[in-house]
Amino acid sequence: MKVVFHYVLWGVWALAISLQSCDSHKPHPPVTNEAGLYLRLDHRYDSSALELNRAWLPTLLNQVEINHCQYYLSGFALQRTDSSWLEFPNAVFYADLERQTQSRWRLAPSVPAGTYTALRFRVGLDSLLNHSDPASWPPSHPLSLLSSAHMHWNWNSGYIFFKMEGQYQRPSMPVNGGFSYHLGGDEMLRTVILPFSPLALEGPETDLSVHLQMRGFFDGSHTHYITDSSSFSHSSLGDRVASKLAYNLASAFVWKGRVNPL
Amino acid sequence: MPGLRIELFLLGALSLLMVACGPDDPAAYPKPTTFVADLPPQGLGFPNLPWPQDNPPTVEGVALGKRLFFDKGLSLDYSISCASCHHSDRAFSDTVVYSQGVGGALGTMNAMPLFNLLWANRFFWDGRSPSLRDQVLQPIQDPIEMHLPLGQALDRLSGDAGYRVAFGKAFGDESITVQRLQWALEQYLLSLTSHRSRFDLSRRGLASLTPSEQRGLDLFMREYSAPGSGRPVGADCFHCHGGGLFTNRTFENNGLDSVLKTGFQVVSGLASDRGKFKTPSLRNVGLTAPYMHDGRFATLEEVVEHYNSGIRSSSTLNANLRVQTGGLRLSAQDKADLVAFLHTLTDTTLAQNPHFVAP
Repeated sequence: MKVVFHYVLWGVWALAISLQSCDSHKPHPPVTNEAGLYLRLDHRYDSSALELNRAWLPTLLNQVEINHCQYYLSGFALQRTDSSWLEFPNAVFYADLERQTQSRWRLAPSVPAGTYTALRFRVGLDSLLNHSDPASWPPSHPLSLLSSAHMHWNWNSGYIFFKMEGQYQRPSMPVNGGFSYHLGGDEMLRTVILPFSPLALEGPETDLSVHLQMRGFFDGSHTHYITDSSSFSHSSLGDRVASKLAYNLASAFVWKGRVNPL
Repeated sequence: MPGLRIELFLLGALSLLMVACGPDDPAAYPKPTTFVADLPPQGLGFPNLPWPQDNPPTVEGVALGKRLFFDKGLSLDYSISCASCHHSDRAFSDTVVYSQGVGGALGTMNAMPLFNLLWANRFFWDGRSPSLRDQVLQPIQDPIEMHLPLGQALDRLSGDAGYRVAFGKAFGDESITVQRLQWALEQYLLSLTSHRSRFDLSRRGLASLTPSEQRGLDLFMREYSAPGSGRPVGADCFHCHGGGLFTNRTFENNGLDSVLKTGFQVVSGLASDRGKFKTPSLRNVGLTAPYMHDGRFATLEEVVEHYNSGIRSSSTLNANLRVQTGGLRLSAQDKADLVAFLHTLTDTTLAQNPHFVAP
């Protein structure tokens, strides 16, 4: 009996020691999809997925190659059937196409079950966000200079809302020209409303799909012909190029519907 | 039951020993003192960034890192230290095009200045090092720099009683490991902050710029204007060198060559990154000549002239430089004002801080 007691005693000790965490490499909990409302943004050129750097994209008047594209969306809201808006005031989406041309982003941790008829957002940032101090945001926030290093102009001048840079060519040109469009400033803020057939949203995970059609940026309602003098804009006051492109951009978002979660 | 009592005592003692084996061991040395980094005040545009949580700065850790930085014992023949190529009175850069390593070997790129590394995201001109703690090991081992195998470095340090105590004070016990070598150097290098230039003081209302410097700042911040646009010329520097850090923290092809060197392509593997090198901060640029990754320009005047009239086109040229067909068209006065402004970014306190400079 005494021998058995001793075995039990040592066994309990060994178990206790094995449970004590001498090892700092504890396994992480398994990764699971978090519940929430997700926005899926695909960047397209006509029916094809957009490719940076190598694809010459025929616009109406030029051929263009996009090297960089980054932008902010904010002011998200879903419209209820009674026309009121369910707002997601703190949500800021930042896209950097060099990192990924297809984004899945959690817009909100949950959305009340109900029927909705439109998605609204702004291309850019409202005045409060636009003139916030980028140094005040935590490093992981999209408005931190560390998350989006090239998207803030300078002291007191605010963020760049949309940036596209690349090269263009026409048959008569001996070498590629460059283009650089930086849209920003409070007057460049554009609101996009994408209406859709009444859509019942329920369940823990919902994905809404939107495409950004890059052809529309150049060949929208205001066709943009790139020349030496119209190949760049940094949204100076009264800049007609920036105004035209901002208008085109707001019309280039296309509602695609609810899709199955990834 | 005296036998059982003895057994229980032994079990208890063994348990204590086992529990004490973990990473949170009570230290043989007293807990090191927290180092208060000299961080910039709000309003200068520095991003909000905490110190790496796994390597909090301590007075002892920073002091150890400084000692290592200035120690020629970390080179194969005891001839050079990190500080041999990173002079504190030159914003921790070198004065020559290519620094000289052990046995007279020459480097292949200009030694970069070292400050405000807390906000840096990749290291070396081509970005081949993803973290500062990774970066600090490379010059020690590189055959054209200090050329000392890490094992040998650890042997030397472990054979020095003073270092054993210094590591003990910094990390709680005297064991000297590669990781602790990295941590100490990282702590010291991250402590090298610079935010007291005359420009900074002017932003805080504590100094003022001369009319020439102010005009240079305006040129720096103004975008390029096309011929015939009717708008005043701009030097368009801010696109890559804007914000409180005076760098966009990325890699750019700034039109130095038509035939491109590898650059950041060595990291990304993408042809679109060929010829792109790290955008350096322009803080302290008046101290860091020669300029560019290959040190080709000896003066700031040459640098400004490059952007004014010397941009060479290539497939990965920065888009904002590509649109500047025909150059910036800066006058002699514009260029002089621009250089005058760049000198206001010099922080003379960097070379005077006792935490930073040679022991």
